[in-house]
Amino acid sequence: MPVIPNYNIAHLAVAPGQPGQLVEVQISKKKSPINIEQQLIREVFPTPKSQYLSNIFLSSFCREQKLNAVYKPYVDQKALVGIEVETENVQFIGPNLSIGFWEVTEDGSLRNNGREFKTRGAIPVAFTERALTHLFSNLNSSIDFSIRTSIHVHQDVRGMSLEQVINLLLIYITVENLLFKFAGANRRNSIYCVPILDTNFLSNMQSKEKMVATLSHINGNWTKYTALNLLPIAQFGSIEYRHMPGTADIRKLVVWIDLLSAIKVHAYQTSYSALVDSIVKLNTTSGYLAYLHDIFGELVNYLDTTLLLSDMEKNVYYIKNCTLTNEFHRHVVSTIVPESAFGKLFQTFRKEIGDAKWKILMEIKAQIAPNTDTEELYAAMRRRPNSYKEAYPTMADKINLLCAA
Amino acid sequence: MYTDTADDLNKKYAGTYFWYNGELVYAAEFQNRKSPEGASDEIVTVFPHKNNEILVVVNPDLIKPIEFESAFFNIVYRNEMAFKLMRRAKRQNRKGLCNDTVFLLNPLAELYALFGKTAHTPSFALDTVKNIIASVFPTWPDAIQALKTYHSVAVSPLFALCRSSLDQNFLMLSMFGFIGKATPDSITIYHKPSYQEVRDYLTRSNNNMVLLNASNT
Repeated sequence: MPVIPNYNIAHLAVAPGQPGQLVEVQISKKKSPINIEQQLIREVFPTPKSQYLSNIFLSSFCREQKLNAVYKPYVDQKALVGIEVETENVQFIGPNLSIGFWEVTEDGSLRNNGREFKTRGAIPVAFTERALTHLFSNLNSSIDFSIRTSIHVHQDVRGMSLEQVINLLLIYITVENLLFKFAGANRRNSIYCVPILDTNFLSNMQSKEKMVATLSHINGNWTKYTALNLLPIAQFGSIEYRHMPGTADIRKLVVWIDLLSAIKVHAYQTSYSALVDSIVKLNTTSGYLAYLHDIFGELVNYLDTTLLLSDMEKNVYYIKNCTLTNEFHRHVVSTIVPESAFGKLFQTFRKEIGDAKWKILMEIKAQIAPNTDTEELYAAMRRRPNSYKEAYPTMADKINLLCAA
Repeated sequence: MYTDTADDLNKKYAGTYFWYNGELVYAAEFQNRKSPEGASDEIVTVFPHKNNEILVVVNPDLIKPIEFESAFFNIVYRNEMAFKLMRRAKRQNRKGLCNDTVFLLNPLAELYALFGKTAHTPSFALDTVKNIIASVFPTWPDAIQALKTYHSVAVSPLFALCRSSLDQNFLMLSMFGFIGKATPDSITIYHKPSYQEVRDYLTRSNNNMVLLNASNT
């Protein structure tokens, strides 16, 4: 049966002078500003309707396969997650595996009969333990979780607002080291899950507005191999946690997913200002611990909190810097004091050419080569004035003035 | 158990710095050759060693990447000492330390741009990498002294000092930019969120100098 397209007729209008005839006309749409408190991720990034396995199907499948769950209760049972499990030395795959939770794919980074198992779309968190039990019971017991393997968890954030995702990002950064410790501390040195704190991303996100801009244009502003990968937001409406090394420890994986759910729930329930306020006030070990209890509740017992000061101090400091605009920095990088200790270093050249020529030079530089060394640009223009005048005819007069003896 | 081949090692470590059996080394290339007994292939490479080169039969299990966190480091380069080292999160095979996996940033780049100059950053060489690994920071008086020669100096993994572009003294930098003014005897913090961490830095380095919070004055 052919698929009937669901036409949207909003772009069709009656052309003047031709009653009744429909033609396609371009209607300019005014881009309304994003309301970061109310607009949901699924509205900002209209992703295709996500595939997820329904509760009814999963319940009956689990009954049929006699899959039971031991772990409970979950922080957020209804939350949807996607799981990707990489493993090597796969010699046997049970025939029932792909009719339930999982699909099997090849992965070029794996060796030794490596395979990647992905959940067929998102599944409710409450089914993750049974899904993992089903996976490992349908593979040979000698599967190998080598250093090349890892387990990625996708968390559905389509129902969160942009502000709540920013909250999630801030909370995540404060506890990033603790999450790495839980997953396996050596993972933080992996080139496939680089801690956000070790990258330069936070330098570009030093205010709430910049964070919103980064999230709204995530494809140009993020890279896949950060431990918290935000790129899938635009494609699937999910964020990906890449920390966990390959393991068949189901209990550890279920707790891991629950820890991630706790971060999401806290981000969902707390306002941006309240969250920033609580982070800015953090400066003692007991304060850090209380903050962790607020986020993780009893799950905090699964985290290694023995070195909280060293694990959280730098991260909290980074958040303080990201969330409060640094007016002093702006002042410094926009104020020229020629007689200052730093300014004096460059005054010889400026004095040599004089203030009038300096001004012209800075105007030309701003237009043709803002990143070039001023002194080098001046020397180059003096050497080949005609080449510059040909290349930039609108500035020929200024170049003449500059190159005059 | 899978062991890396010469091809694998070329992808991961050729042209990079890494630890080999606990020693900092650089390898340009890994090659296969027949072992003297002729029984099997072995992997060989050449490590530079004191103006010379030594041929090494490589045991892939003894190779370890250099681990570090993003921070300020002191690397003497031109007139600068303080540089930020950051990791690159991008698809790649390299695991050793090189320009594909990490990069250096000059924290004074915006200040240089203000005065129409280009900020320079060093490329990776053995001395640069040694400085990064050693991660040595001068005391406050030594840092002030160093600023007579250099434009910037890192005083801790989180903070650096540079010659001031506002007056005759110094500016204090965090990983995110300028946070306050400094003299040989005092620091005044203008970016409030940094106050606590600067106070912690002074306490840990047994420094009793005056710390002021400009937002309280």
